[in-house]
Formats: sequence, structure tokens, C-alpha cells
Amino acid sequence: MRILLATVTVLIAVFLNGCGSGSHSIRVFAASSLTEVVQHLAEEYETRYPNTDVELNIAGSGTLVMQLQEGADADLVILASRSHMDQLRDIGLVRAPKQIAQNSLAVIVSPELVKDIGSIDDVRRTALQIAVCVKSSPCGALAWAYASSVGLDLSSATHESNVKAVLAKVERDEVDVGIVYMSDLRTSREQLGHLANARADQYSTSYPLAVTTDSKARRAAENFAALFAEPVGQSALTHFGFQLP
Amino acid sequence: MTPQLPRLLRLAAFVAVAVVAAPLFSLLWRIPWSELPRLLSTEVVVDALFLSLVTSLVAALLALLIGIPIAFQLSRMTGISASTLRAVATLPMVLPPVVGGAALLFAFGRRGLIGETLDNAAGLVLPYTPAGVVIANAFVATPFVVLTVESGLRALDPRYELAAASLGASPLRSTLRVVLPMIRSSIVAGAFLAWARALGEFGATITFAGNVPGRTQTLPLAVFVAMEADRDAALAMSLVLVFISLIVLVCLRDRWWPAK
Repeated sequence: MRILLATVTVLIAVFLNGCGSGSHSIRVFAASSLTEVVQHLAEEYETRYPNTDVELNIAGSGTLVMQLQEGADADLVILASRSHMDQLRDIGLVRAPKQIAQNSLAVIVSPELVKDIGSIDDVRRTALQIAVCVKSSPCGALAWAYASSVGLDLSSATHESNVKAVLAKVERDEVDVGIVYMSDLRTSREQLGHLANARADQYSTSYPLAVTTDSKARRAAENFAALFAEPVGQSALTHFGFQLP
Repeated sequence: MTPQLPRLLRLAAFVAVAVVAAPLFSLLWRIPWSELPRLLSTEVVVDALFLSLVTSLVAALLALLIGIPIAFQLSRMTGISASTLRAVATLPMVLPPVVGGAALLFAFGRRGLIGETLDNAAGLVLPYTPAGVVIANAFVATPFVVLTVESGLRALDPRYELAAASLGASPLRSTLRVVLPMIRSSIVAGAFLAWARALGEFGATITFAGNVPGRTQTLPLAVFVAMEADRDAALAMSLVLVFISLIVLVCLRDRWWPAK
């Protein structure tokens, strides 16, 4: 019992010490589709500014907006749609967002069905399990707009909380078809099918970035934001399948 | 007369209750009371409520069917073998539900150990169907049946069964006619706990059965989605879940640990 208590005390001491040690940190809230890009830039940032830690909070844009509305602490916010950022601007959490990238939709097919499903007509004709993002997310809003334009029935589709969850389900063959972003298709390591003739790429969204109004590390957050305009940020964005604005 | 508690302990209890009740109060404080009827009658909510009730009830029955035999077996075992079996049977209770959902996916998913055979042999696919929700719910709910029924059985005086046997009753007959009626309150308590747990299930369901409105989107999943889309609807549905759970727990009173 005494040993247990001692261990716990040491652990707590180490933990508290780690939190309070001299280095600063900035907290970056980023949309799921940007996962690879922000991870890459966070590494770049930490090599340039070794005294500053980057804490990443990656989730669907809808989740991030909800967290921020409920008072979550962030220094930099990057979302996958203008309307989500507008919700934050309207309540004064951010000012003057800047657009850093664009992305468009892609209809993808699980590795098992690549040979069988070659067009959106095949998808419409067959009773396939489809996965899409929840309607309240940027990729969900786009997916629904796209589906109604091509007459695709989404009534038995599973609604995933963010685009990476949709991608994972298609990659693991848990669903047959998914609607994701071109960038997800690009970053996937699986042999996914892509219905290039489905014209989903006409549906695109832009990525606004903003430093929060009450950030306590404004300078550091602005330094991070500046990376997106530099060659390192631009090449990361294009490498991971985004278009530059 | 009951002996008095030290004043300091009573104070600590008061603070502790306040801490436990604070989130609940905060939830009630946010509820848009005047909007409730409209919010609770939308199609999404009605579908989710209906689906939740049906799947959780079926899951509770399934949990009884699986849990009672395990409890009987456990009640006759001792030592390390009993501890091991009990640990395996009650693991879903402490396991993160999302891990349970993943495990179910590897077992009953389309490419799962059993799921692939089911799919090939009978065209039966569980994920993204209400049946999948039932499986996920029953998986997390069964331990509650196992624990309550086992403790009921252990508290039972073995002389009743011995008497039944000496009067010529077969083991089956004495189990059905003597033991089961005597542990009825444990079974009822286990069933209610299992039902309440199934009704609140989230992680295993969304991982294994997905989130298809009208088919696998139960109330907790609908709350999760509505937190981002329609906060007031999320609060209204939360209220329903809180209300049902409270009723279950109040009705059970102290029956859910019958061994004492």
C-alpha cells in the first residue's frame, strides 16, 4: 500500500512538473481532413522553435466549433468550411479568417469492389453500403448536395463524425462506397477505387484559418499560420492532395 | 437509533453529492423546456427513440439468455478458474466500449472471423442493421446479468436444492421450480440494469453497427450527432435518457446487490 502511494505521488509530481516546465505551447484546432498537413507542419514548427510545443486537436469541423463554443482554449483554428468559421466569427471567437487551401469531393470504392464498381450508375443500381460524413460537417454538407444532384440515395448510409472515419471504413472494406475529399484519396495507402467520372470534384470547399481573439500565444500562433504561406506549407498542402487558393 | 456520523464526514458527503449532481443540474438548466414537445416529435428523435426502446429490450432479453447460464456455472466454481471465467464474462463492463465494438467487428463484421462465414453461407450481414445494434447492446449488458444473478445464487441456501433432490426432483426440475423462483429478484434486477446499460450504449454501437438514421441510430448516437447540428434537440433527447435511467435506478432501490 505504501509503495503504491509513493508511486502515485512520484507520477503526479512528474506529471505536474512536465506541465509547468519552461517551454511554451500553442494549441492548434484543425479539421480532420488536414491531419497529415498539420502534423507535418507541427514537426517543422517544433524544429524551428524548439521551445514551443504544438498541441494538435484534430476532429471534424463541427466538433471543433462545438468545443470552441463551449469555451475550449485554442490559439489557432483551421476548419474545412467557411460557414463553420463564420459561426465562430459571429460570436467573436475569431477575427478575419484567411483562406489557405481548397479541397473537392471524391467518391471512393473499397479495395474489394474496385473491379465491379466503375461508375456512379453502378452505385445507384446496386444495394451497396455507403458511408458519408454527418450532415453538420463540411464534407457531409457537400456529400448531400452532391448526392441529390446525381440522384444517389443516402437513406441507408452510415453517418460518420468526420471524413477520416469514412475513409477508414472504406479502406477496411467495412462499407462499399464512401464520399470523402480528394486529399483523403491521395493520402490513403490502400488500393481504393475512385469514381473519377462521377463529377464529385465539382463540389469543393475552402479551408479558412484564424488566430483566436483571446489567444495567449498570439505571436507563436501567427508564426504557425505563416507556415502555410511558405514553400514548406504550400508543398505540404499540394503533396497531400489540396489545391491552393 | 442509528449512530451519528462524524460532522466532518457528513460535510464531505454533502460536497461529494454536490460534485456528482452538478453536471446533471447543469444539463437540466440548459434544457429548452418550452420547446420540448416540438423537439421530441421530430422524425429523427421519434425514430431514434423507437429504435432505442426495441433494440435495448431485445438486447436485455438476449443478455438474460446468455448471462443466466454463465452465472449458474460460475456459482458452482471456486478459485482461479472462477475468477478467470468471471473476468472474461464481465470484461465488457470495464472495457472501453469502442474496443468492444472493434472486437465485435473482428468477430461479426463483414470480414470478421464469424461474420464472413455468415455472409457467405446465409447472406447475413450484421453491421449497419438493427440486429447489429442488439448484438452490441447485449455484449455490454450481459455482465450486469452475470454479476447480479451469480450473487443471488451464491446467497441461496443450498439446502433448498438438496431437499428438492431428496424428494426426487431431477437437477433440471429443481433448478426450474426451486432455484429460479427463489432468485427472481436478482434476475429482475439484472434484467433492468442490463436494459438501462443497453439503452445508454454508445461506443460499441457506433463502432460496430454504424450510424444509420432509422436503422442503427439509437438515442445516444442521435444525441452525439445533434450536439453539433441541433443543440436543443440533443438536450431534449438527453433529458429522455436521464429520465429513464433515473427511473430504473430508483425503482431498483437496493435490489441490485442482493447478496447482502
